[in-house]
Amino acid sequence: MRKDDARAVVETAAFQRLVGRKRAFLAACFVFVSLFFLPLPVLTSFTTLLNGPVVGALNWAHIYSFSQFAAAGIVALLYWTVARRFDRLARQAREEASGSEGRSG
Amino acid sequence: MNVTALAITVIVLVMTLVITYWAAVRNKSASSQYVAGGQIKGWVNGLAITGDYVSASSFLGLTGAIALTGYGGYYLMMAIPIAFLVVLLAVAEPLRNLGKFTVADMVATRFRARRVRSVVALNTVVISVFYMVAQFVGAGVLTRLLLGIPYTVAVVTVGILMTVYVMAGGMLATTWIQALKGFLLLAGTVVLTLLVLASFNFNPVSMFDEAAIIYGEEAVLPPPPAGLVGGLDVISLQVALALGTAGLPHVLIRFLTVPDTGAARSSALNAFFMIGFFFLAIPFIGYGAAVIVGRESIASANPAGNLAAPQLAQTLGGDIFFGAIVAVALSIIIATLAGLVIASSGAFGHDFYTNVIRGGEATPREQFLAARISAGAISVLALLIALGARDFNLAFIATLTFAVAASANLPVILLTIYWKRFNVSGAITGMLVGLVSSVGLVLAGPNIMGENAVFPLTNPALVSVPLGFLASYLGTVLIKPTRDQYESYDEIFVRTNVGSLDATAQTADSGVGARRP
Repeated sequence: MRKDDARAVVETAAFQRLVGRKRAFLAACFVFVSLFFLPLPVLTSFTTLLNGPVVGALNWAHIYSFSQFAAAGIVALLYWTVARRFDRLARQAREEASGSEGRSG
Repeated sequence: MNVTALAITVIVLVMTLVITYWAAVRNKSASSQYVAGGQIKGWVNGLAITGDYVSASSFLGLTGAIALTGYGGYYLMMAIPIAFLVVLLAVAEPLRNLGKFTVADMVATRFRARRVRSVVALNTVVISVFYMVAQFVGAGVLTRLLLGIPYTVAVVTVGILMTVYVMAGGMLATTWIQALKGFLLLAGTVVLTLLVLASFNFNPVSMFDEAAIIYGEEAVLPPPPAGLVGGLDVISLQVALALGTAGLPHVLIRFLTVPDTGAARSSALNAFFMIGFFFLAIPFIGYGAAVIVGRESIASANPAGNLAAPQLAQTLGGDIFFGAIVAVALSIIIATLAGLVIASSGAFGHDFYTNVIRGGEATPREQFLAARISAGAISVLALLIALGARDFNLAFIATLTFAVAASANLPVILLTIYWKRFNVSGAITGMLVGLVSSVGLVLAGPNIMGENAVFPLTNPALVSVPLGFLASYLGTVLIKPTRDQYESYDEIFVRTNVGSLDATAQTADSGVGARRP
């Protein structure tokens, strides 16, 4: 990859949109993961707040633990969906860059 | 000796040798040796990642820990869902777009300096060889427990098999052996979980109820808070698990075996769901074993509870199911070992020999030879260490592996991909500080020093991971940058986001992927 080719891609509107959307998605995931996942080890290892029963002997600690798999699964599927949009923008960025190169060349 | 178990294990081993023969005919270059020619499909790779990542300690150790200690055992797997989110969202696709054969290739794409490649390769070897020794010792102990075969015979047999797989069949054989193991693992887990649930009329709550009735309510409660140090140790373990996975070389190189970005993404997603399902099933198998087999019986078979899953299989499904679960457990070790050998032989053969010593000038034939010789040498080295480490307490090695991966590898991988100002000085200081601090804090901690520990936590990640990031940052801003910056960040930035700009790079399924440059 030549330096000029890379610069041409970076300067396309599609690439800027792609990077902006990716950053926003990753930032939102980071915040969600931190807020949803971190309390579990903190609450179970420092407190007994999650010891209360939910159904029979099944307690909140287990429910919270199992829900982490579901939450992570939803984030993963969400990424799968938005990644298709990222793919389209990436393709667009390449096309825009090669188009502008063709005009300038 | 259980003849049925031995027979099923032999059948599985014969299948792996048939796969190796098939792959050996096709293994003709360094590319096929290290990354199966980059032609593995996403779903196969997902299955192979499952087989590669889930070690025997997860399958046997975790079920045993939950069976004997209840929720306490859960701490050993709590962060697994986040671990694979990190891999899926932040690492898999950029790694595929930047890497070639090894993790060091990815970092070297940005920084040409040989010393950067050398340090990444050193990290890979440290992590992989330690992990290999732990797997070898585990294989020896398990084979003795499960099949009654002496330790030395078991370790040497596993070592020979592993060497044959990797030297003859390379990554192609390793991939399909790992995929086979991933399939067997998932099938075994599904059957065992269904049998457990059937014993409780498919009402999981009644399983928890019975555990609480037999062993008291504390059997299903988190262990009582153990003060500041105890709590921080739990958090530290979660940091290592959550961030270490995305720094494990033998897991990362799996993303270099697929043809494009889309396949890297689908591998990560498939692996995420398969591994997630497996770990979600573990508490059911663990509590099921406690109720159905009984804690006393589990602890008398093995004090750490490592035989809980096979004992449960014996109780619920008789000799044949016991044999199948034993075969799964042993194939797990062999498949993980094969992946570790490929990762560390890449660090030796490709990074040290081809690129550092020969300056990238080796002929394709020399590279292929170096790859195979490195694989053989690494196997023998780990085998010899394992034979000597028989009675050594290896419990800390898994801790060390994840902590080193999270502290020394992950900061540099992430910053190489995402931080524009990152430079050679930052990469080297980050990796060395991450490596030295994680190893040093384990050596100074309770695992090694016992009551005289200078560092109070058994897991160093809570301290060593921030140190790895901090050193990367400080190295970058304080030490004068060298001229070793290979490609401008623009090129890295574009390649991580849209793939290579080569005309051949377009792919059918995503349109953005790239054949490796």
